Amino acid sequence: MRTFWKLTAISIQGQLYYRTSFFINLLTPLALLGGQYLLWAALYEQQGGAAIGGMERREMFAYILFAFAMSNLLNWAGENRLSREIKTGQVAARCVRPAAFLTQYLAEMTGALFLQGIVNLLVVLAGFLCFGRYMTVPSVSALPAFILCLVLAVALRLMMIDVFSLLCFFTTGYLGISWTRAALFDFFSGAMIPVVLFPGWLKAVACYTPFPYMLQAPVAVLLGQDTLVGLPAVYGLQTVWILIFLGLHGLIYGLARRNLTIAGG
Amino acid sequence: MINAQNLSKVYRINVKKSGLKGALGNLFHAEWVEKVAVEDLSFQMKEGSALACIGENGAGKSTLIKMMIGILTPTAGQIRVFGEEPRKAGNSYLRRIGVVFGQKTNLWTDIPVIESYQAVKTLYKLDEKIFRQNYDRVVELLELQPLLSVPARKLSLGQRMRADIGMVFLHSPELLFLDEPTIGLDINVKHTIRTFLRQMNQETGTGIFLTSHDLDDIDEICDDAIVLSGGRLIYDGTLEQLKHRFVQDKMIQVVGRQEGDIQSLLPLSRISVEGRVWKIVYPVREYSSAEVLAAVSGCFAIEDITIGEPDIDEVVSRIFAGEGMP
Repeated sequence: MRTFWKLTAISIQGQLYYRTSFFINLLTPLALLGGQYLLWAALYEQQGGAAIGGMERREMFAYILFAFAMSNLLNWAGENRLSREIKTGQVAARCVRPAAFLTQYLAEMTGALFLQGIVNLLVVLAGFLCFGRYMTVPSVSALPAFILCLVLAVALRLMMIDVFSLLCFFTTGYLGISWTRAALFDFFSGAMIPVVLFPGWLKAVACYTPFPYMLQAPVAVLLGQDTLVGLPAVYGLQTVWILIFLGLHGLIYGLARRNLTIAGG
Repeated sequence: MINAQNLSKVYRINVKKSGLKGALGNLFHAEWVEKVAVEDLSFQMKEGSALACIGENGAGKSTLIKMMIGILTPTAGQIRVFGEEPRKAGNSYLRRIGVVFGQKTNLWTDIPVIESYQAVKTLYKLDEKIFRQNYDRVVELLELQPLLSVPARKLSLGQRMRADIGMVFLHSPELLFLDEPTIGLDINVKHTIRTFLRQMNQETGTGIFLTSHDLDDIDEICDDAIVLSGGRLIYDGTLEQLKHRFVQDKMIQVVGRQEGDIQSLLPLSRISVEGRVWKIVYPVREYSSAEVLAAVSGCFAIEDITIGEPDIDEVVSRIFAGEGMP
């Protein structure tokens, strides 16, 4: 564990040393949150304040605030660090350190999302302090179930990013892979539109993917909304998907080590 | 220490067709060919020795290093380092070796160098006393003190390479793999690094496996050499023997008074004179050094004599030109 925490600390230090970049990365996504709020506010205005897809305006505002906090836990640079290293061949340095590849990756990502997590928590608290009367306030009793769901959701998301990043061993187009991953996540996780608003068939498709369990499920648990498959099943599916991605990690990493051509030889 | 037996590595390469039509065709039909990077390679490296791996671009040097450090899996054959198979040996093996890639850094680029060094202490589970001892030594010999508080990404190439080489010695590796460690560096940094590596090899017994295009690196650091061409081993022996095998001429420079006709004694040699300095260039396959020296001492009242040693540059250019190879 010392290795894990040391690498996590290095990741945090790396972010803190560059002040401008740090603040830009932390705060600029707030513009996205503002945009989401304005969009949904306009839609509810058009509906004369009536519920959309069964979600009241108060519920929706709380949802977009928490969805923002969850989806923005990792920035673009952090998510794509491993892909870039693979593309440039810098990944070789990672391979010769006496620590498991996955341990190094998870430690770095934990460091990357630690600071952003604190800031996002502050944004959520500030949001409720200022605009709480316009939003559904989560119940304290939902917190234990939410925390477990959140931990599993974050682990699942990290493993999903890891597996997509490893695919970069087999192609030079790492941006294509990153954009595909980001598009799938943003759409199916409920980061852009709550999954409960999807048409029935699309909702069914979404349930068979890992993405809703990375964001929609924990937010729904916290706000007491529809979790699509029931809470025990959510935990089960999160665990199963984590195990699937762990298996894929081993498979793809093993294949890469057998067939890999690292830049430069 | 290193024992490679019939080692081969074959890559599958996607062949791209030329032209717009070819590019469109590539979208629907990928064509693959096999490229042999290393072929049936067998060699050994003794404990504590310094072995150079010489070869032109694409000869398989980097692939060989990557198989020895366990990043790549050989297609065929076997490699054992410390009696273990690197690919399967895991972290215990990685703690015994050190690796420096000239074109990549092992430092964490966003944090000061000293923080990377501290991370090494944790990752390699180093005892404080050993860490401190190695740390003090590399900081002094590589003059790293002014660089320690600077993030690696802000270092010049030479500074970064010094910091990288310093870092690799912190965990007292028994064997070091260096893949073109002085590439792109200026002459002073190269000298500092070569001197340091040689010193560490001789004082601590750290084995060195070096690939480099800089022949001075090889000359100053290594005693033994293997030569690769097209992935195949074409020489395995000492650097001295390699030089002698590929050097066709030697030169003796004599200062003194001529007392006999040297040309008649060594008719195949080329002789030039400038004042009292005579240069005799002779083919080593025709005359032994003893014969030449006997002829020279019979023909000159010698005041000074110098026997020119073959230059490794000449050796390598002859190897790659395909001269003298079986």
